[in-house]
Amino acid sequence: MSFLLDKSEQNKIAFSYLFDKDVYAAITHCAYYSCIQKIIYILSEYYTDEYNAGLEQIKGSAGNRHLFYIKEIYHWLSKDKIVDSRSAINFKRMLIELRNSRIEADYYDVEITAEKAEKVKDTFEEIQLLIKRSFSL
Amino acid sequence: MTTQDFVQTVFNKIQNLFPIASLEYQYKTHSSTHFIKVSPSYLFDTDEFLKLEIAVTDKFEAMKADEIFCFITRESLVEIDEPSLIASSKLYSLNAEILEESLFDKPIYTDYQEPKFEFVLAKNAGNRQYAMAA
Repeated sequence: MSFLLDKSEQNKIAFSYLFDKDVYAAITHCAYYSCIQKIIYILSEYYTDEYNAGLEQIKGSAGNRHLFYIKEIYHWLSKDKIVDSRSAINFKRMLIELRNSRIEADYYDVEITAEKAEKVKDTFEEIQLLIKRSFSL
Repeated sequence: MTTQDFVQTVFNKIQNLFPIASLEYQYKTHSSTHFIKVSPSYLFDTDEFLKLEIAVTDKFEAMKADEIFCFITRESLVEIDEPSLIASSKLYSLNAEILEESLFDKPIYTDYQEPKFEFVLAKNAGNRQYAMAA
């Protein structure tokens, strides 16, 4: 198994463990990184040339890298018609939201309530489901 | 085109397509994301909105590669806490104007008259009397 996929799986396990213990502060972090690690794996394995060329273009900006991953996976989902356009845009929207929430949860004075944790869980599960259906990962 | 102009154009496009739509916009610097909250949420399920969303986000991202555009609803994970642009539903505004006119300028019940119950009661009373007499 790829180390990236292994890390994604570990973050998924950490998410479930923390969620069950009502430890909400770190769950958004685990959820987001579990998703993004899987996406990096998909891009680097299945779209290697385009992925490397894209990374070369955005060299030197960590924030841009994450936007690049999100835009790039959306691009391929739509272009290769892996899913219908509604599912593709929903997927992109959920990733953007999860990324924004991850930054707020990690760095800002924002409370992660049980209600918010539930929304993170729903979003996380939907993203994982689409990845599983589309790429069998 | 500035981002502000772009957002204003998007607001106009959405409200021309869906006069019922209420909109709120906020740019979240920490995630370099432009969020537009759309109400009511069911607009998201329409094909018209889907086409508009794809066109808008594609166009914006072609303009600004280091930022991203995202539409959200009331149920979304992200909340708009400090909107910098708000547009109320055109439809609600229109209804409110009509209601205001009706209530203050053109009263609806100008020809209102008290209903006449006396006749009905008298007739019933007569029937009762007649029945009793029979």
